[in-house]
Amino acid sequence: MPENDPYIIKLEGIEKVYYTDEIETYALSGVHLNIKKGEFVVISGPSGCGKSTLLSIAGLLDLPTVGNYRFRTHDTANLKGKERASIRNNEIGFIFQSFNLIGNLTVFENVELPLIYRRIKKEKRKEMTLAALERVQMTHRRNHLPSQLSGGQQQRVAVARAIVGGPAVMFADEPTGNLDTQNGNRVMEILKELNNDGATLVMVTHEKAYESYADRVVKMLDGKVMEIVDQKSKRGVA
Amino acid sequence: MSYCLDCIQTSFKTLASRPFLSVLSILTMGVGIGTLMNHFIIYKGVMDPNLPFPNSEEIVTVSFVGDVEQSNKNIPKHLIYYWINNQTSFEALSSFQEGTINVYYQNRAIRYSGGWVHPNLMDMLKAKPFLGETFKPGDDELESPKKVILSYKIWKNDFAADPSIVGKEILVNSESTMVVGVMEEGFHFPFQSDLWVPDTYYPGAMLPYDPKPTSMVAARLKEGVSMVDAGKELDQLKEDFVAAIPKLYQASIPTDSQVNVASFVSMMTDEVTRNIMKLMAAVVILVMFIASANVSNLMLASASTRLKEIAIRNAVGANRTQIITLLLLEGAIIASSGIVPGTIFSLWTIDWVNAQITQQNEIPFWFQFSVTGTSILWGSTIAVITGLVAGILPALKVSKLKMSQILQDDSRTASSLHVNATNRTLVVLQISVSCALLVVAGMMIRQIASYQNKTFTFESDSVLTARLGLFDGKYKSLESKNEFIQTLLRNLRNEELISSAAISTRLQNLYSSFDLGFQLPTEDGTGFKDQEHRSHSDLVTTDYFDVLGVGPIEGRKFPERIVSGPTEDLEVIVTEEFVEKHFPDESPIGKRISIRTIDQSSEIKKIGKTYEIIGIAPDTFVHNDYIDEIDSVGIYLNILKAPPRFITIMVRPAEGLNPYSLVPLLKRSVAEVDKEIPLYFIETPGDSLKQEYAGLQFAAEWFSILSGLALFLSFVGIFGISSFSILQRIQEIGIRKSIGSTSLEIFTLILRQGLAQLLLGLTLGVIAALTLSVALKDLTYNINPFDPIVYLSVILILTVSTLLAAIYPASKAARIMPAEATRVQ
Ligand SMILES: Nc1ncnc2c1ncn2[C@@H]1O[C@H](COP(=O)(O)OP(=O)(O)OP(=O)(O)O)[C@@H](O)[C@H]1O
Ligand SMILES: [Mg+2]
Repeated sequence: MPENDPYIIKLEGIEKVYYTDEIETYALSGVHLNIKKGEFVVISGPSGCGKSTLLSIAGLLDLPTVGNYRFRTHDTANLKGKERASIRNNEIGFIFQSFNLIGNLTVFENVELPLIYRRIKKEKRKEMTLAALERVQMTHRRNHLPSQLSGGQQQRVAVARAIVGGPAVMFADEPTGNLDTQNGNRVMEILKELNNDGATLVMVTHEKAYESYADRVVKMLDGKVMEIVDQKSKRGVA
Repeated sequence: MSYCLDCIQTSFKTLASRPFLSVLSILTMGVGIGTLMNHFIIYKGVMDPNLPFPNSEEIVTVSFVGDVEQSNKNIPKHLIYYWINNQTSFEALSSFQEGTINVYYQNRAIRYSGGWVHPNLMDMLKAKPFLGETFKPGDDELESPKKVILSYKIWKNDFAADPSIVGKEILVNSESTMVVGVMEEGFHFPFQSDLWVPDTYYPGAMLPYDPKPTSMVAARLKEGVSMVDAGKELDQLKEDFVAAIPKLYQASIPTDSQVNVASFVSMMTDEVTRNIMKLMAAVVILVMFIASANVSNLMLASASTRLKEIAIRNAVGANRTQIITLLLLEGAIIASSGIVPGTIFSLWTIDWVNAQITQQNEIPFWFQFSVTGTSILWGSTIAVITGLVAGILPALKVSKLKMSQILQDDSRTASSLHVNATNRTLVVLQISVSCALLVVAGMMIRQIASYQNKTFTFESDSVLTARLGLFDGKYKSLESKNEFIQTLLRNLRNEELISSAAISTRLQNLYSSFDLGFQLPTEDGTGFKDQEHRSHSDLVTTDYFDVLGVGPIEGRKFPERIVSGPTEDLEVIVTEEFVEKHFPDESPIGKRISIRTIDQSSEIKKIGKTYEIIGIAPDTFVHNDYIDEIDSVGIYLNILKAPPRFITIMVRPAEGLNPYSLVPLLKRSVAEVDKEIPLYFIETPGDSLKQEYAGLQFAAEWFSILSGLALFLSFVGIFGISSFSILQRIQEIGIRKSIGSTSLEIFTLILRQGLAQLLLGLTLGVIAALTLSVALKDLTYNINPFDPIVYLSVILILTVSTLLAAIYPASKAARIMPAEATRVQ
C-alpha cells in the first residue's frame, strides 16, 4: 500500500451470503466502498438492506463471503483470528444499538475491558478508563452495574468503551436507535466531537437528522450501494 | 387435552432443536434407567428370589444366633431329631448339608457337590421327582439300603439321560448305591447340589449327645404361624431337650444362644452380601441422580433460551401453572425417552452379570438374573418420577421470572439470563458423586491387588494342587488311607516330570485346616504350664516344604513311612514365627509340648498328648474364612499319624514345566491307585486364590462400572453445562471479541469456569469419598480409606475428563464470530 493512499478502508466487491434452512440470503451483493482517514460516513437504507452486515465486515466482526477488504495496512483476507482480534482491540471501536454491555461487570470494568486484553498496566488502565468516562460524563456512575443505568447512560458507557483505547476508526450501528431524541442527540454530540478530534467514524442510522453531521452518506438497497451523497462538496458548493 | 398435546409437541420440538444435547440426555438417562433396572433385578434376585418350589415363602431356615462362633450356628443332629419328632409349628422340618460326593459309574469317576439330607427334604420342599421317587422314612437308618437321587442336569450330562437309570447301582463315595429317582429340571438344593443321599442318623454309633455331628435346618412353616412363634417353640423344645439329657452332656447344646427362624434366602445371603447390596442401591440412586441432573440441566438450558417464547405464551394467556406443567411434562418426556435405551442396556448387561456369577463357586442355584416385566416397569416408573423431579427446578426458575421484563427489554444487557448458579451446582454435585464412587471402586480394586500380592511366601504359581476324598466305604481305617497315600506318593516320585510331591490337608493349600490348643513345657521340662495357647495347624507329609520350594528346614523331616498305626513317638515341626513367640531364647528342637485333640474320633479330650519338636520350618501364609485375616500355620503334624478324609495332593513339576501340564499324569497316577476316586479342584494355589476373590472382584467390577457410568454422566454433564453456558454467554463472548479479545482468551475464559466447578466438586467428592469408604470399611472389607494413590488417581482422572469435556465447547466458543453474537435479537 502506497504511503500516500488516503483511504483507510477499501471494500471491493464484497458479498455476504447467509445460509439458513437451506435458503441463501444475499445480505450484500457486490459492495464497493472506500473511506478516507478522518471522514464521517453515514450508511443509510431500509431495514434489511445489509447495513449491519456491511458494518460488521468493515469492523472485522465478520468475514465476507466474497471480496477484498483492505483495512489500513492490513489485507484482511489473510489475517489470522488472533491478528483480527488485535486489530479490533487496537484500531477499532464498535458501538451497538443494543449497547451490549456485560451485565455482571461494573461501568468501570466494562470500559476497562479492552485495555485488559491489550495487557496495559493497571495504573495506566485506570487513567485511560477514567479519561474515557470523563469524556462521556459517566465518571460518577463508574461503580454501577449496566442494569442500574438508563438507556442513554448505557450507550454513553458503550461509547466510552469504544474510544478508551484511542481507535483509528469507530463503527457505530444505530447508536441512537434505542434512545429518545434527547439522549440520541447527546450521543451524537460526543461522536461528532470525536470525529472532529480526528477519528474516522462510520455510522449506520435511520435518523435523517443525523445524516447532516456526516461528510458522506452511503445509501443502500437490497445489499447494494445505490448512491453516495458527498455532503462536504455540497456544502462547499453552497 | 389439546393443551397437553401441545405441550408434548413443544417438548419434542425443543428436543429436536438441540439434537446433540438431547441425544446425550436420552442416552445418559437410558444408562441410568438400565442400571436401575439391573440393580432392581439383582437386588430382588439376591434378597428376595423366587425359589422354584411351591409356596417358597413358607420355607425357612433355623440356626443359633447370639454369642456363638460361625461353626456353632449349625444344629447338633440329636437336637434336630428331637425337633422333628416334637415340633408343631412346621408342616415339616428337615436337615441338609452340602459337600463333596464322589460317583463312579461306567469307568468314570466324577466329583459333585451333593447334599446329605433328611429323607423328608424333597417332600418338605414339595419337589417332585422326574423319574422314580424321593426318599422314604427310614432311609436315614444305618442299615437301610443305600439310595441316591440325581439332578436332572447330571442325569442328562453324565448319565446319558438313561431312561432306565432308576434301580441301577452306582458307586457313591465308594459304596454301592441304588439310584431311586431323578429330580425335575432346575431342582437344586441348597446351593448347587446335583445329587442327594440320606444323611444317616445312627445314635447307636454316636457318642451320647455328642454336639459334633451338626447339620443345617430347613423347614416349611404351617400356614398362619409366624417365624417368631416357631422360633419360640423350637427354643422351648431345646430347653426341654437339655433338661432331659444327663448333666454331663448338657454343655453340648449351646444354651446361651437363641434359636432363630428366618427366611431361607436370608440365611444364604450373608451380612456382607446384604450390606454390599444396600451400598450398591445407594450408588445406583446416585448414578440416577447424576442422570437426572443432566436432564435438569438440559431443560434449564432450553428454558432459558426459550424465555421469550415462554413469556409470549404467558402474554397470550397461559398462566403460571400451565407453564410449570409444560416444563414438568417435558422432563418426564425426556426421561421416558430413556426407557427404551435403558431396557436395551439392562438386557445387555444382565448377561454379563450372569456370566460373572456362574464363574464363582458355591453360588446358590437361584442366583440367575433376567430382565422381567416388573423390572422394566419399576425402572420406567422411577424414570418418569425422576424426570418430573428434574423438571421442577427449571419450572420454578422460569415461573419466578418477570415475564414483562423479558418481553420488553431482554436486550438491555448481554446477560439478562440468570439461571447459571443452579446448573453449576448440579455439575459440582455430579463431579463430587463421581469422585466418591471412583474412590470406592479404586479402593476395592487396590484391595484385591494387595491380597493377590502379599498372601504367599512360596511360589504359588509353580505348584499344582488337587483335592480328593477317601470315604469310609473303602477307606475307613487309618491303614487303608495310609496305604493309598504312600502308594500314590511313591508313584508320583518315580515320575520324571515331577520333581517333588507331597500331601497336606489344606484345601488348595490356601486355608488353614484347623487350630490346636497346646501347652508349653515347664522350665524343668517335667511337666506343662497351665496356660493354653492356640495355633493354626496342618497335617503334611515329609516333602511338603520341598514342594512349596521354601528351602531346607532346620532339624529333621517327618519319616517317610510309618510301619504300623499310631505309635508313641509323636512329633511336630513348628514354624519360625512359633519359635520366635514361644522359644525366643533357646532352640526348641528336642523340646516337648502338649497338644489337645486332633483325633479323628469326636471324643472331647481333656488331657493332651505329648509331642516332640523335631524341626523348624519357614513361615508359609495361609488364609482363613475371612480373607482379611491372614495368619501363619504354627504347628505341622505328620499326616500319616492321623490321615483325614479329604487330602490335597501337591506336585512340583520338573524344571521348566508348566504345572498344568501335569494334570493328565496326576489323574492317571490317582486312577492307578484307585480308579474310583475322582480328582477335583485341580489348580495352582495362585489360581485358587483368584477364584476366592471372584466375589470381591465382581463387587469391584460392578463398582467400577457404576463409577465409570457416573464418570461418563458427569462428563456429559460438564459438556452440556459448558455448551449451555456458551449459549448463555454468546452475546458476552461476542462483545469481548468485538473489543479485541483473542480466541485463546475466550477459550481460557470458558475453560476456567469449568475448572472452578472441578475444584469445588473434587473437594466435596473427596470428603464424600472419605465418609463412604470409612463406612465401607465397617460394612465389608478391610480397605484403606486413606489410600493416597487412589485419591490421586481419581483426582487425575476427573481433572483430565473435565478438561476434555470443556475443551470442545470452549473451542467452539472461541470460534464464534463476533458479528453473530452481537446481533440484536
Ligand atoms: N445471521 C444471519 N443469518 C441469516 N440471515 C441474516 C443473518 N444476519 C442478517 N441476515 C439477513 O441479511 C440481510 C441483511 O441484514 P442486516 O442485519 O445487515 O440488515 P440491516 O440493513 O442492518 O437492517 P436493519 O436496518 O433492520 O438493522 C437481512 O435480510 C437479514 O435477514
Ligand atoms: Mg441493522
